[in-house]
Amino acid sequence: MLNRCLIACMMIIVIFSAFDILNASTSALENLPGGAGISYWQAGAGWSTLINIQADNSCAQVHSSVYDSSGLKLYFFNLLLKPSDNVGIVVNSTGFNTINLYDYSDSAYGGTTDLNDFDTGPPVTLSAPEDSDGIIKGYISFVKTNLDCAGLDGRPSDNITGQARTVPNSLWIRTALVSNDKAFALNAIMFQDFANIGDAWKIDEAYDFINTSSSPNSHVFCDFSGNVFNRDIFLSVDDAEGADIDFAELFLTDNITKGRPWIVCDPGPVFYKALGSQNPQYCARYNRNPAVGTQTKLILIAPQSNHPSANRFPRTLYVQSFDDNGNITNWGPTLFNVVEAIPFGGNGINIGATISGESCFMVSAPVFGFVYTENASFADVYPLERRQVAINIANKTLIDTVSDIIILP
Amino acid sequence: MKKLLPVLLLILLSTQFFSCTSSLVRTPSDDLSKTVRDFYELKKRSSFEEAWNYERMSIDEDQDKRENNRTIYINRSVTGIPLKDFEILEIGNEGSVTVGFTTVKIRLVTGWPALPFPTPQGDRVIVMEDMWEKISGKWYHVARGMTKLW
Repeated sequence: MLNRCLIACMMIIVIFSAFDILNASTSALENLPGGAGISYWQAGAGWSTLINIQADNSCAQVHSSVYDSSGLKLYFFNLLLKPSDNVGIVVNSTGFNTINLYDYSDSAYGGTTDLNDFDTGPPVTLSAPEDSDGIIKGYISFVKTNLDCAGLDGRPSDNITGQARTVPNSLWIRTALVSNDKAFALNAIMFQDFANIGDAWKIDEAYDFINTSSSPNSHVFCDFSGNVFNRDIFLSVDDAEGADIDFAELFLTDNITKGRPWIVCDPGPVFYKALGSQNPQYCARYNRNPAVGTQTKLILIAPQSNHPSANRFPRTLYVQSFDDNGNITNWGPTLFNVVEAIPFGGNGINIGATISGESCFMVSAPVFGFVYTENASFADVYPLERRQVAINIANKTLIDTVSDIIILP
Repeated sequence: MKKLLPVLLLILLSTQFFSCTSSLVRTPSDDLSKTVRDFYELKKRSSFEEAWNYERMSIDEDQDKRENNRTIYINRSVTGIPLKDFEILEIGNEGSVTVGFTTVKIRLVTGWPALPFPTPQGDRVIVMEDMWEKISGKWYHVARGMTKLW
């Protein structure tokens, strides 16, 4: 009898152990390294931004492009990193509608000539519009633009700009926003297996797209911009000195077919966002309590969304906010700027009279961002929740199937 | 009487001492330039308990909120970004900006916060429009957040 009981117990343990294995996660995607990335910055009204770029065990030439809140490219520069090196950028403001750029910890291969060191200066000074809150906002895109380290003393070589090439995931980037009396830090958005699309600085609807819904994947003419009557050829935002992140490169690519990268355009057409949420929904926590002075702002960045190729994906925001009892208020549609800080309550996102809850929104343009909550004596930053993430698994398995793209969760 | 004399002398000296120290406690005044200078001098000296009295938050009608903010303000300032120097660059016209505030253009020299990655060598220089409000004849500093003013 005892033996039977023991065997039964053992069997129950084995069965439940098996369930534990079945309950293992599909993924926990956060803060991965990449070959390209985007950082938010803000300056003025006491704020400065520090951006810190870290290389893995290979050298890097990082092409960096500075954009203002309306998506205007203000400046670009190359940073050079030795293996395991670290270089930083300072963005601050000492005058109305102007920002200053410096670098620091920039000694690899003699340092960049595009920026001066913070402790010696002078800065590169650029005009950029100040928002109504007195803060100048924008973003910087970063692309590891070299594939080799075969230059003098192991310098970066083989620049991918203007070419259809894929770069390794050898960078990670951190950002700190620093006011006159407080600071908070967050990781940049990084793109894994980033592919520079198009040859000769062009992205062509007739040449640069692929259908992955069948096997083998097949090249297609794709109406990316939604302009059905024309074949559009878009000039790339890559510079002669290095690659930048084009709007079309914010979407998933097929990096394995015929030895070059393509933008995925499945029948529909259906495109899959590498940046942002696929469905395209997001949620963010808000707190706004006038009695204790708590306020929250939604910071949204929609890179390259004013490019002619972005017509199909507008920055129109539809917001549905819930209080903590599930009561709903709606706001929008509202068109926001390429980089914008939108307050909750008041003249901003309608949350009714509630003091806290969840705000969920839809926007077609690929975006990233965060919410910033503060009161007189407290400040914190919370990440946005993406409701869906699209991944091209064929780029990792190197096997072309009829289901190259998966959607999480 | 002889026994009482030292006690009286001690009381007199104590009174004198406390009146002297209390006159050293700085408070906001009707002179904006002096008030701004005093405020940043206190911050530079890490005298955050006194600096708190210059903040508009310090005269909030809600006592609980005021006390809570005071405690956190002082604690956060102690561990915050150190102010090394300051310079008043320009005092704006009184009440010339939104809701009657007065701007003071100020240059602050600070260190960098402790971050988990390298920060630049050298001090950080901030040039900013500081906001001040005159309340009951005295100037108070308006703290500027990323989302609103306090």
